[in-house]
Amino acid sequence: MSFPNPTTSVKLVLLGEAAVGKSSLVLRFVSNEFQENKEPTIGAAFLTQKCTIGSKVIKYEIWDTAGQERFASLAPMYYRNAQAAIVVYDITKPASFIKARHWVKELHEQASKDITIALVGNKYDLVKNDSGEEDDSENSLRKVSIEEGQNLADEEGILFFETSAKDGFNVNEVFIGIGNHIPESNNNSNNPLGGNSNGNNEGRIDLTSNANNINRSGGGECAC
Amino acid sequence: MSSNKNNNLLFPLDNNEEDPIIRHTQPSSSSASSSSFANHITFNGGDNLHQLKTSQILKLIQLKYNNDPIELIKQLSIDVLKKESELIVERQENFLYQQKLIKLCMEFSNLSTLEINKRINDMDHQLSPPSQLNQDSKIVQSLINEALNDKLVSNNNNSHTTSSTKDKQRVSSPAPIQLKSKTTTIHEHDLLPIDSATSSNSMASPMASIQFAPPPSIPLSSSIGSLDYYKPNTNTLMSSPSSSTHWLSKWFNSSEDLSSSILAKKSLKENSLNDDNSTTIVKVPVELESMSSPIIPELSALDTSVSVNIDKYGFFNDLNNITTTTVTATSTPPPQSSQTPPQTESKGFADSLAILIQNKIPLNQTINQLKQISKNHDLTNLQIENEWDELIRDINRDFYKHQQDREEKYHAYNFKRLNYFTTGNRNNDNQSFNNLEIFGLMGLNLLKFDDTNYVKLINLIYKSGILIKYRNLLWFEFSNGKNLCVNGEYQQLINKSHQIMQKSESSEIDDENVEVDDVNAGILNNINQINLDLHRTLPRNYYFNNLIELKPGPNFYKLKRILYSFIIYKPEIGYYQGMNKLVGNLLLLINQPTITTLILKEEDIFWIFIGIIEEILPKYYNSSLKTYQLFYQSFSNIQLDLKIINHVYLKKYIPTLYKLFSKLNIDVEIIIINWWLSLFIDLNFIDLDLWFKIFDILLINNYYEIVTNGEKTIENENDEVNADADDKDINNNQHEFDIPNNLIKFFSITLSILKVLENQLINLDSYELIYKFLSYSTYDITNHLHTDTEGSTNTTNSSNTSAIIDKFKIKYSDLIKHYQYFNKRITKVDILNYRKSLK
Repeated sequence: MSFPNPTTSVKLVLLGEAAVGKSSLVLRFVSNEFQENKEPTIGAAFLTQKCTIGSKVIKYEIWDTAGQERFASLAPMYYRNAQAAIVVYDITKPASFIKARHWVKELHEQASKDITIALVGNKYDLVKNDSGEEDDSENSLRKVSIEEGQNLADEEGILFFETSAKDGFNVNEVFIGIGNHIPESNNNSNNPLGGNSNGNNEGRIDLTSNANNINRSGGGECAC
Repeated sequence: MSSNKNNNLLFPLDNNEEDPIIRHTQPSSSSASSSSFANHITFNGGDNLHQLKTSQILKLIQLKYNNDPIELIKQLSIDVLKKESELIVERQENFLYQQKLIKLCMEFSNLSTLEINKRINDMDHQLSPPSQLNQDSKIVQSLINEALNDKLVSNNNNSHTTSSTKDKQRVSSPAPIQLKSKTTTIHEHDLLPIDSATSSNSMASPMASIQFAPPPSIPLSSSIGSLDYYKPNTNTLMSSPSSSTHWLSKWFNSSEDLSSSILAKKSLKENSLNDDNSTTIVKVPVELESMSSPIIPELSALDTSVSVNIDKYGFFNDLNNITTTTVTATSTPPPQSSQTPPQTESKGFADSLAILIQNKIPLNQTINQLKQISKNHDLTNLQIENEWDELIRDINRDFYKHQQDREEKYHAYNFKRLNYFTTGNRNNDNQSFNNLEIFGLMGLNLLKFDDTNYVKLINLIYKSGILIKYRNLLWFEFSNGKNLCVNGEYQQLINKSHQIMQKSESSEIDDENVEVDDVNAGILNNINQINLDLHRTLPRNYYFNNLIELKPGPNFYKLKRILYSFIIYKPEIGYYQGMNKLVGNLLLLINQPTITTLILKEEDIFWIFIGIIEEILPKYYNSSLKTYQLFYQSFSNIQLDLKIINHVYLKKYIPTLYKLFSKLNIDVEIIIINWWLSLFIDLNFIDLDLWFKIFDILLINNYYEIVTNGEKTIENENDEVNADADDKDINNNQHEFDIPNNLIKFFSITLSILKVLENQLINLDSYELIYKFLSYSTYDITNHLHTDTEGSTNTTNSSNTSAIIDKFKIKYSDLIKHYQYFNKRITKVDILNYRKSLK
């Protein structure tokens, strides 16, 4: 059974650390809902949503994967043949940004060459103050600056967004951006910028030392 | 108690088990009497002389008795006499109590524990105020009559919040001593219906009306609930679901209640049409709702009351009223609660209901037919309940009957063991050792004497799943949790987790530089992950997330302690997402109504969990680590086995699906791995009732399978048992292709699910829909199935959503039929061969 003609299907996979809001992001995109205390995803969930971009209609077939490190070895099952990937991190959790960096790297190495990747810093609502603008004070919950995210995206040649699944900020833009990017993906597929994963500012050095911690403790199981 | 007075059994007490009761009660009564003596003494002439100093005594004698010894002795002897007579009275009373106790003990010693529990329950019921009940039942009866005459009037303006019901409850329940909880429950339920049904006049003074409040609402739900021997739903939050209301339903004719409830709703519906603003407090009983929703979906829309419905597992039903979800579409509350009674009659019930209502048959006729349907429903379920009760009684009887026998053997075993260790005499006694192993209290021992009970047990489980009231008891046995349980160990684990937490908190000023050893780092890592998931476990369940008071429920903390303890108990396994859901579901057992059987504690749940992890879930052999690993840790092995399921068994036994999947290019393995990792929890087509029943099957000891499954030879099973027992001396070649315990069950369950869904899937016939439907999904799939079918196929409106949900739920009877089929045909040898060929 095939889909109506103008629709193109795009297989999209969501990756990222646990509880950064992958499922919430998809839920916001697919049914414009938000649930507090979203139950953790096990394995992966499958969802679809159509998205009209200009003249074309894209049908996203979304694989929303489990975030826990221990299920990471299952991820290739889901990003195999994927045309697009969204790597999500939580802008209030530095460790999740480290993890995002790993995912981007893995995708570049393992996934199909012309995959379109979007880096998404989620939970923007947490760093907003009452007037709806970003809280610049010392108390801000933000731990990953917008520049860090943008830098990583530039290095890897991928798209970058900051979103809030809770209030819907910038969510649809992610999917529209991917949709726009997909036909041009051939040009950008062999971007040489990848691989330079050494941080170049002090914040990142701290973060990488933390990543070592994670690797040490979680390394035992991912051998398979 | 009173019935025991007529019983004049006076046998010497030789039952050890009952002895402690007497020992316990005797000292307490005698101490009571001695204290009363003490009081007497101080007021007597003797003045406690012995307690005073010699000089004081002399002084007293001088003052009171003029140093006259005769006077003194007289006074003393009078005192002594008095005391003696008092003592005699006390002794007589004591003796009487003793006699009563002995009678009780004698009576109970002939009974099983279950029967004793039942007696105690009965006594409880006798103690509850019968007059009130009768009165209530009369009122209910009259209400039902009224309902049958279709004279119901709903009140219009009373808006009821939970707090208002609370207030009323406080006013209405005068809280009789000791029975407080029960009676208040009744009252709560009493309160609900007045508003909806009778009393438009009650609005002015709700409090006054309450005293005369008739209780039809609770029987409405209980009548249907009782069909399955589940306790009726507690419709309000304030009533604790565990407080027993089952006895209420006894004297209600359930069918009448049912019809009246439907009538009530009908009238309500009409009313709400007239007045859109009317908020009605009528609680649609959950079971009824789920059963009838396919036909009268408007009911759910009707249910606009502010108060909250909670189903028997504690899930919030009308979530939209409470949660902060920002829902845009017409999303229906999740179908978590749909009721599958042991004998899955509900489907037929719902269907016939549909026919009845759709055809607009005259009301009286409808009611009569409804009565008939619910009667039949009642009967089949009662029958199953009786079968269960009987079987459990038989098992217990046998157990106690053979107790002496067993004890002798046990002593002999101990003696032999002693011999074995002291003399090193290693003759062939191992055999008899094994036979004497004491497993669970009621389970395996009996097998040594009589197989029939086990055949019955298996057949009954295949027929209906474990009856909900016995599930606590049997799961504790079957999971082997009872044997794994070590007194005090759970507490130690909790303490240890506290220590680690404290240590980490003190040293962990910022996340970066923590110097902890590897093990603790792993544990902390796990704890972090658990903390992320705690709030995300059963967030729609009252016991986990109290949405009314916006605080975590009691099970939230239990879940936390159990998971923390687990990662300390098994640091080499650690926490896997999904365990939270398993423990969450297990914790729901705590809140289940158990009428007669043991009530599980948090600790018991922990050990059941350990039992499931250690012994029920398949373990794969890891040849590089030379050890068995939990299947969570063996993704590659699972993936290999899923290939077998797909390319061998699916192809062979369900070829239509196999063809469909390859035609649509569907990777069924990717779907099934989700099923396995989530242990079949939260799948779109498996509701909680069915999930419990699937685990009933998984938990049945393998040995039972042999009894019922003649085709599997016992030798094979023994080999397997031995292989499991010898984990330590592992022979590489032998174990590389070892088939994990229970793997065949996973195979069979997976295939039978696919088989049951076969027709649905063929109808879906779309890559996308099938993935959506089959893949594990954290949200309600039906919305999306619905929106997708809308455009392409015939017109479906939102009211059909619940019909879709019900259509896709698997029935236990169907599942088990296919399960038995597959379970007989899938053999270890085959799997081994296929594995080798795939490698």
